[in-house]
Amino acid sequence: MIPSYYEFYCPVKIISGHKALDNLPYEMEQMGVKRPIVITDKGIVLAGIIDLVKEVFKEFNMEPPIIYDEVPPDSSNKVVNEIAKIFMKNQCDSIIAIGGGSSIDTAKGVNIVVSEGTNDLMQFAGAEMLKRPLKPLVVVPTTAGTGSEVTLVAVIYNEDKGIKMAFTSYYLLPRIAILDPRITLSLPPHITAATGMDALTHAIESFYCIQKNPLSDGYAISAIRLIREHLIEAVKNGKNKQARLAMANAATMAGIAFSNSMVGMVHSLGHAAGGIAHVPHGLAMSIFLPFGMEYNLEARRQELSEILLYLGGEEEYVNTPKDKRAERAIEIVVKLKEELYEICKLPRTLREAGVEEEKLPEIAKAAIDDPSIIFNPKEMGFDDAMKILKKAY
Amino acid sequence: MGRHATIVLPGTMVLKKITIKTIFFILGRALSSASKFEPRIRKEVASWEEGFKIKMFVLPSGPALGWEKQHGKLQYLGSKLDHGDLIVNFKNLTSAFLLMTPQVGLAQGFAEHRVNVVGDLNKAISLTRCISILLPYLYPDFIVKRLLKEIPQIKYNRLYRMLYLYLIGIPLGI
Repeated sequence: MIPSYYEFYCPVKIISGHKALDNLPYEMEQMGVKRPIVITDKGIVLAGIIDLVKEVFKEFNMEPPIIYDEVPPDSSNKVVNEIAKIFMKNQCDSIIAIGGGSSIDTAKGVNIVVSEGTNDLMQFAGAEMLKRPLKPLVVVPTTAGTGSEVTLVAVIYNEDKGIKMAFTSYYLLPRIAILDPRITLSLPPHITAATGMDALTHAIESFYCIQKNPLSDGYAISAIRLIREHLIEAVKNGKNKQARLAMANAATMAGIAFSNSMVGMVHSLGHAAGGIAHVPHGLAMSIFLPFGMEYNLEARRQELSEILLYLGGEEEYVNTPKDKRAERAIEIVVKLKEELYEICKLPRTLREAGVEEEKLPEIAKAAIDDPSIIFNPKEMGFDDAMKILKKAY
Repeated sequence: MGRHATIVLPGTMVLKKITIKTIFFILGRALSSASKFEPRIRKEVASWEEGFKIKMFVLPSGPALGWEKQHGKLQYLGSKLDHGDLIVNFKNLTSAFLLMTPQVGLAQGFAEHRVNVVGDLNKAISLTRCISILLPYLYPDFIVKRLLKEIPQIKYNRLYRMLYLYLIGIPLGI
């Protein structure tokens, strides 16, 4: 069904393929920038990716970029300010983020600080607080999951207040995203699994949440199909470049889908569990996804039934009675979780993820205040959130 | 095939503005009044800091509606509010008209990009919850059903509260 009204926006240039990273200096030159700063973490340096970046700049006769490689797993406003100072001191003119969600979100935060000429990032927290374009940002995702390379969101920990704060603005969208399978080859199986489940959650939630539209649907179903075909292979055999490239594409497509149709309660619960019990985002998505689908079953039976075609394949879809397809789609997600547990011990429950049961009420409270809840098809109050959390425990 | 042109009469815009102003007045006073007697709204408001200002504004030049948290309660400020800690902007008169008349619910309004929010998104969700709790006191079920994903349960005498709002809360602003 076509919605009576919708909007869709994705201005990010996607460069995907084997050795796509080699195009980075050319793209920088095309944008008219000369002095980028690379924002990344130590793991990326150890994986040899930064050496690769220096090499491609050298080959292109460009000065090597300034490197900041100390982004922690949970970045904060203080880290953002520290990097912004380095940016200013070195008179940089652009940003290259190489990493997972933390590095990319940090880069978006730095971009706000240096473009707005402020030392208080938090005054721009919330929606639509930015009023002008920022510096050029290029993103090279090293995990296939967050979709941050094509989203208008950054989540940064406020050390002073002790909470994660969201920033949303179309100006936060990167100019370019580079998907190169060489970058994700060294990703360990459990992170490949968790980030892959993050991408699957983006795709599934964007397919049934209330802002869905025909364009986001197209990206979502293509992402679900690619994940079905390649996630297990990428987890089992990380060196398979085809599987890695497919997963990188799936994550980007799921990112485009959810950036335009938004996500629902699985993300509300996941953000809350991340903020309060420090459950990594991808893992939280994996734990909550089947519960979210189940909770929305009656409100979104048609969409969940349709998902089976992409999640289970043609044969599975045809062989499942029409009135059982939605339930079967949920069973397949549960089975996928079990399979990932068998392969790499990816936790299936909050208990296995090390969450203390006493924290559940606090997580429920934060979940119902999370902005993504408004896009969920079915209302979720505190008691509903508690029931789901107990089931997921 | 010929193109169809819609003629926008100047009076339509004026009528829409008057309607929105009227509904802003009703909503403003109703939420302020309900924040005193409805425990769930009171609980939401309690989580906001004292002096917290909310502004609803129809771009580009109004009408506007403002509230401020004063002494633990939400006070209606009319249209006189320079800035808000949380601002809900309706992108145009038509969007505001659709949401206020009320043909489109708040969640659907967000999903259709008819509003943009400036400020803390968690508080925007809290405000949305307040308005959702208020709606069954303002409208009958057949309207509320169209606006919300589910009708909030009301533990108190709904008819009495509706009468209170329409006869005392809204006209007298208490």
